Amino acid sequence: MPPNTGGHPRRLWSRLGPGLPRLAFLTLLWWVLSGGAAAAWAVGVPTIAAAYLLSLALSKPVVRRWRLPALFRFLSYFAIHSVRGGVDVAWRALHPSMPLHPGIVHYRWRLPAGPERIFLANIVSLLPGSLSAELDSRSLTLHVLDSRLPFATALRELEARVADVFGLPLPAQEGGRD
Amino acid sequence: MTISDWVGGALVLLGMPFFLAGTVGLLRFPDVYTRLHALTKADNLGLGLVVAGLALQADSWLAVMKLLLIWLLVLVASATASHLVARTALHRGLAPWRAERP
Repeated sequence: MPPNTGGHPRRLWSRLGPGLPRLAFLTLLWWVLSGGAAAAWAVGVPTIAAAYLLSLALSKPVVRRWRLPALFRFLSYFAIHSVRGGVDVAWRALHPSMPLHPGIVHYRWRLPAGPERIFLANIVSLLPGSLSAELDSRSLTLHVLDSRLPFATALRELEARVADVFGLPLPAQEGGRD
Repeated sequence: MTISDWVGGALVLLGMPFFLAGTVGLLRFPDVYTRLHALTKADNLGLGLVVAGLALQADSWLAVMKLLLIWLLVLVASATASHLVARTALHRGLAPWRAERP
C-alpha cells in the first residue's frame, strides 16, 4: 500500500479503515447470534472488542478492493454450479454402474500468493467433480471425478472470476496443466 | 399456509434426497477421495435447499440471517475438512482408485 499523503481525515482512515469491515462483520455476527436483544450488548460489546483484537493479532487487515457487481456475478455462478455439482455426484452415487473416471490433475496458479488462493481452493471443492487436495507455491492439485472432462478451462474461468471479485490482475500467461 | 410456506416446504423436501445420495455415495464409492466428493457436494446442496426452504418460512430476518450463517459455516468447514483429509491421504501415498479402462 502506498503511503497516504492526504489530509488528516484520510490519514486516520488509512489507519482505522482496513480493520473496519472486520469490526462491522463481528458486530453483525453478534447481532444475529443474540437475536438483537438489547440486554445482550452488555456481554456483546466486550466480546466483540476481544474478538476484534484477537483477529488483529492473528492476521493483519489488508485493503481489498471488492467489486460488488463481480461478487454478485460470482454468487450466481456459485449457486448454479453448486446445484450442478450436487446433482452430478448424486447421479453418480445412485447410478447402478457408478460412472467414475477419477484422477489427479494439477493446475498452475495465475492468482498471486495469498488468501485468494485458499478461497479458490475451497470453492473448487464445492464445484462439480473437483476436490482440492494440495496447494503449493506453484500449483493447485485436484482430485477429479471424471478426468476426461476439460477441467483446465473450467478452472481458468473460475480463477478469472475470483480475481475479478477481489480486484486482482491476472498475468497474461496461460494457467493450466502443470 | 401461504405460498412461501408451500415453496419453503417443497425446497426442504427437495433437499433431503441429496443427503440420502451423499450417504449412498459415502458407502458405495471406491476410495477416500471419491467419498469426499459425495459427502461435500451432495450434502452441501441438500443443506442449501433445506436452508433456503426454512428461510422462506422464517418469522424474522434475524432467523434468515442465522440460517445463512449456518449454511456458510458448514460450507467453509466441509471444504476445509475435505481438503485436509484429501491432502493427508495424498501425502501418505494413497493412490486414487482408477476405473479399469476397457
